[in-house]
Amino acid sequence: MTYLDFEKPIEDLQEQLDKLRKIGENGKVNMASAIKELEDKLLETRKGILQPPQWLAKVQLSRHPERPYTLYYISQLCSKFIELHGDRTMGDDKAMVGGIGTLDNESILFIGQQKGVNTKQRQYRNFGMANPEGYRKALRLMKLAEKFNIPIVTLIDTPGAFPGLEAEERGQAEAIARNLYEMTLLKVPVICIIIGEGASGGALGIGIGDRVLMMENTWYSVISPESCSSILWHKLEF
Amino acid sequence: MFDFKLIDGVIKEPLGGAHNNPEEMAKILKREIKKHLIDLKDFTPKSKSTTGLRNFLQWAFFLKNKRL
Repeated sequence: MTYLDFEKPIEDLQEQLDKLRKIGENGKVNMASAIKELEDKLLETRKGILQPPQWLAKVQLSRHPERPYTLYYISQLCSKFIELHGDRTMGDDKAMVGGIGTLDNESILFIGQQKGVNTKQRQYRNFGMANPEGYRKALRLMKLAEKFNIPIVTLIDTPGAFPGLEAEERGQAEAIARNLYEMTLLKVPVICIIIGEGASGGALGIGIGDRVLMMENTWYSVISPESCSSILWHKLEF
Repeated sequence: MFDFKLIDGVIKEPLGGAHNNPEEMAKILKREIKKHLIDLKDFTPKSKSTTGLRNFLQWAFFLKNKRL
């Protein structure tokens, strides 16, 4: 497990608990009551830290390195999933995944941004920042779903659309704007779910739907809090 | 955001966030998706496109009302 800064007390308690369990297994000392007590305390601390919702904790939780991503959810939800690649013009964007899956005998088109689970994969997936071809691929798949009358579910988890030179050269803004336009006119039901970060155009590009849902520990905003602070005050602390 | 009607719903997460119990989270997600799909089943294509547009325009209305 990786623990964030504000989860420090939980980590300490968990360590103590593991130690006690080890002693309990090896020696003859009965540790059951002590373990029980510590487990209760751990639960209390967890609640104490997270229950009165703190916005910073939520932002950090939404970026938790072990938070499940799109492909994990798809693998859990669907009995069968066929991933579709490519936007028919430029290439395949690894940050954006999409395909048709079967959810209880019903075909659904899933589209979502995927971040990697380790450093190598994160680079491969471009940290969940999609290029124009990603948005064009998403649009292509949505048109496909419209043709076959399949409902669409989009899972949004991105720190933003990729702001690099190549992305701008290939028309990032145009790709997102076209997505906004076309998504409002789709003739099939669209459900958008924010499963992590939802930043600005990156999220909006696949985020126009009949139902927009958010998970508890997520954010949806025009800019990430840190970038906003660095633009306004040239510092990250605010 | 839910109070401002910018989104349609908030999905509860297991205690400590989704990473603590991904399987449980996937189950909750599945339930939510199915619930909303059934909700949207009766929609005709015409009303569908208007809800999408309404959701998007809600943002503009929100900004306008805020300023007034």
